[in-house]
Amino acid sequence: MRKKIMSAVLASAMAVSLLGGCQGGGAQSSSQAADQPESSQAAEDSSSGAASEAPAAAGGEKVKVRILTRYSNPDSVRERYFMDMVAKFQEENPDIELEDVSISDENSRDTLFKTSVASGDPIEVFNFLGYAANLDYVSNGVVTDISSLIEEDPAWTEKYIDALFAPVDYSAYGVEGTYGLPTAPYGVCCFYNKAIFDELNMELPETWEAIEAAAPKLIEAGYIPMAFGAKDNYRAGHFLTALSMKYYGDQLKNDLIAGDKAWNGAETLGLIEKMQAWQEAGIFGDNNLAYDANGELAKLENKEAAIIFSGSWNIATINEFANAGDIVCKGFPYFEEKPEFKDEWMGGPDDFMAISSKPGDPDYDATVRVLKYFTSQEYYEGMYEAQSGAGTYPVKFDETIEADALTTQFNEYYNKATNMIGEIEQFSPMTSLMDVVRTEVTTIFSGDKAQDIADRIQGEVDAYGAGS
Amino acid sequence: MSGVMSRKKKAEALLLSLPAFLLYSFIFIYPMISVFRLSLFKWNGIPNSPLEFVGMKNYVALFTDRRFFTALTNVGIFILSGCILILPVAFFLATVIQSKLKGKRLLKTSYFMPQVISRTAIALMWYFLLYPEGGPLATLVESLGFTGVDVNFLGSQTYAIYAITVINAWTYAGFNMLIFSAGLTAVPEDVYEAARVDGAQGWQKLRYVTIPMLKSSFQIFLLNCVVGSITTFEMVYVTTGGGPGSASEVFGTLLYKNAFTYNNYGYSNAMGSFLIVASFLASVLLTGLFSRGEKKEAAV
Repeated sequence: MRKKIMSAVLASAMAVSLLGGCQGGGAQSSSQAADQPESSQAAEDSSSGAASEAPAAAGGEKVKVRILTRYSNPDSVRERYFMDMVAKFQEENPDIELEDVSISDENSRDTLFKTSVASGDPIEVFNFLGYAANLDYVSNGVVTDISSLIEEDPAWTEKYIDALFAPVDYSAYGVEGTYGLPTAPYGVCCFYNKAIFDELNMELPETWEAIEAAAPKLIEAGYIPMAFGAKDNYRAGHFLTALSMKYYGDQLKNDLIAGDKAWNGAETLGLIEKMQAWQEAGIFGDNNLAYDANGELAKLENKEAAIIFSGSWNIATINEFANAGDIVCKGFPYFEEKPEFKDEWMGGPDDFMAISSKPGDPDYDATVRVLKYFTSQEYYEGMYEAQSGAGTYPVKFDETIEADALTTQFNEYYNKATNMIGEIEQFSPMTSLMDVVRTEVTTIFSGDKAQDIADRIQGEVDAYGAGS
Repeated sequence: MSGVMSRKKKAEALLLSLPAFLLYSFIFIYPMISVFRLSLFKWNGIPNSPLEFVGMKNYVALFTDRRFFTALTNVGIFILSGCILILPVAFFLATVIQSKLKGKRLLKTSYFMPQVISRTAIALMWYFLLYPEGGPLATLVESLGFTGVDVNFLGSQTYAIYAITVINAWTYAGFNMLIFSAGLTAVPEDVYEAARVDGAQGWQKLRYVTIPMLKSSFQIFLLNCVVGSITTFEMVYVTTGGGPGSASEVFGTLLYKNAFTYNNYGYSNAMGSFLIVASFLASVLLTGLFSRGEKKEAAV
C-alpha cells in the first residue's frame, strides 16, 4: 500500500509541478522588509550615478540589455519604425547587445514583464503603464527614478510636453521622482468609411442618437454600423470609459475610484445597458468575440464596417489602406442630450519608457544609452517623418510636416478637448480591476445581462476592499 | 561480518540514490513546499515587496470565489467528457489497430499524430476550424443550408467549455488508444479461446473477458483523465482565455490570471496548493478503488 501511495504522490507531484511553481525566491519576509521603508530604495536609486557615453563594458565584452514594448507588428508604421530603430541601434552600438523582446499583445507584454520582475530579473528597458494601478512597481523600487538623469541632461527632454508626465508622478503617494518618459499620447476617436455613407446618401453620424437612427439603413445594406472587435478585451474597457466621458464627464470616474458610486449603481449600469441595447440592435454587428482590433481595421478597409471606434495610434496604418481616401476621422460620438460633455475624451499619455537598472549595476550605463536612444528628440523626429506627420507625439517639433487629412481631422477634434482621462480602472490601486472590467463588459457579446455584469464587477471590488 | 556488509550495502544504495533524490527534491519537493508556504502570504510578485502573513485568508478567498466554482464545474465537465468521449473512442481505436485490418500501421500513426503536435498549435488549429466567420465549420453548416445557425461555439458562454472538451478528446484519444492497445496485447489468446469454447459471443467476450482483463489500462486512463483535467491549462488559455467572461475558466487559467494579471501571488499559490492536494487525493482514491476491486476478486 505504501508503494502505491508513493507512486500516487509522484504522479500527482509531476502533474501539478508545472502549474504550482509560482513563487518568488527573492521575496522579502515582513521582518526583512520592515528594516527598509517602501520608497527608500527608489529614492536611493535616483541619488547616485549617471550614465556616461563611455563604452558599456570594459574589456570589450558586450553588455546585454533587453527592451520590452508593444511594438512588434511590422504592419503598423509606428511599430515597424521602432523595429528598424532597434536594428539601427545595434549597428551603431556594437558594445551593447540589444535584445528586443517586444510583444504587440498587451496582456502578453504585461505577463512577460511581471514574470521577469517576479523572477528577480526585471527587463531593463520597458514600457511602463504608470497610474495608480502600478504604484507597487514604483514604491518597491522596480522602476528607476530618472529625475537625476533628466536634470543632468536637460536637452534630452526639453521638448517633451510637460502635461504628459502626470501618470508617472507619484508624489501624491509620497514617492518623489520621475518614473518614465511618455511615448505615445493618444485619443480614442472614430474612423468612418465615407464611401459607404456616400453610397447610401447619408450624413456621417456624430452622435449616438444619429448612429441609432442610421443603423437600420446600414444593416439593411449589409454593413456593420460600428465594428467592435471584442476578442481584444481592452476594446470594451476603452469603450466604457469613452462613453462615460461623453455622458458624465470625469465625474463618474472620480466617484467610482473614490468609492462614492458603485459599479452596479445606476450610472455605470446605465452605460452598460446602452452598450447592450446597441449590441442587440446590431450596431456592433455579430461574432464580435471572434475578431480583435486588427479585425476592426480589416473590416473598415474591406468596406464591411461603416465606422470603427479606434484611436490616434492607428492613423498611420489607416493612411496605408488602399482606400485611405475614403476614411474620415471624427471624435468618439457624443450624446445630443449631453452637449456639455461633447469635448470630454478618453485619451492622454499612454505607455512610458522606463528602466529597471540602478546606478551601480553593470548594465546601468548601457541601459541608459538605450533609454536615451529610444526617447530622444531624433527618435521622434524620425518617427514623425516615417509616419509623414501622422499620429500624435510626446514632443514638440521645430519643423512641422504638413499633416495628412486624417491627422488634421483628428487634431481638429483633439485640440478642442476640454478634459481627457485614461481608462477609469487605471486610476484605482486595485491591479486586477482593469482586467475584471474589460472581461466582464466583454460578456455583453456572449449574451450576458448588464445587471449581472455590473454586479460581478462590484463583487470583485467589494472582495478587494474586504481583502485589503 | 554480514552486518558490516549489509550496512555497507545500505550506505552504497543510499549514496547511489542520493543524486536522484536531490534532483527530485529540487525539481518537485522544494517548489511544492514553496507553493504551500507562499499560499499563507499576501504578495504582489515584486521581490522587494514584503510578504504579509495572512494565514488561511487566501484559502477562504479561494473557496468563496465564484470563479473557483465555475472552474470546479468545468473540470467536472472535462472529467465526464473524458469518460464519455475519450474512453469509448480510444477503446474503439485500440481494437481497430489490434485487428487484422490492412493499413493499420498508417491508422495507428494517424491516430497518434495529435500527441506529437504542440498543444498550442492544436488549440490554434481548432480555433480557426471553429472560426464563426468563414471558418470551415461555419462554411460547412452554411453550405448544408443551415443559414442563421450560430456556430460561434468558442464565443458562447454556454457552449465554450463543451467545444474545448471536444478539442481535448480529439487530442488525447490517440494517446489513450495506445494505453488500451498495450492492454489488449497483453490479453492471452487462449483466454478468448476458452471463452469461445464456453459459448461466449462478441459482446460477451468483451464484457466478461476483455474489459476485466484491461483493468490496469482503465486505471491508467482514469488517473490520466482526472489529474489531466484538474491541471488542464493551455487548451483553454489559447482557445478562450477562460472566457467569455469566466465561462470556460479552469483552475490553471485562474491560477495564471491571479499571478500574472492581478499580481495576486498568495491567492495563486493557494490555488496551486489546492491543485496539488486535489491531484494527490484523486490519485490515492483511484488507486485505492482499483486495488480494493482486485482484492475482492482475489477473495472470490
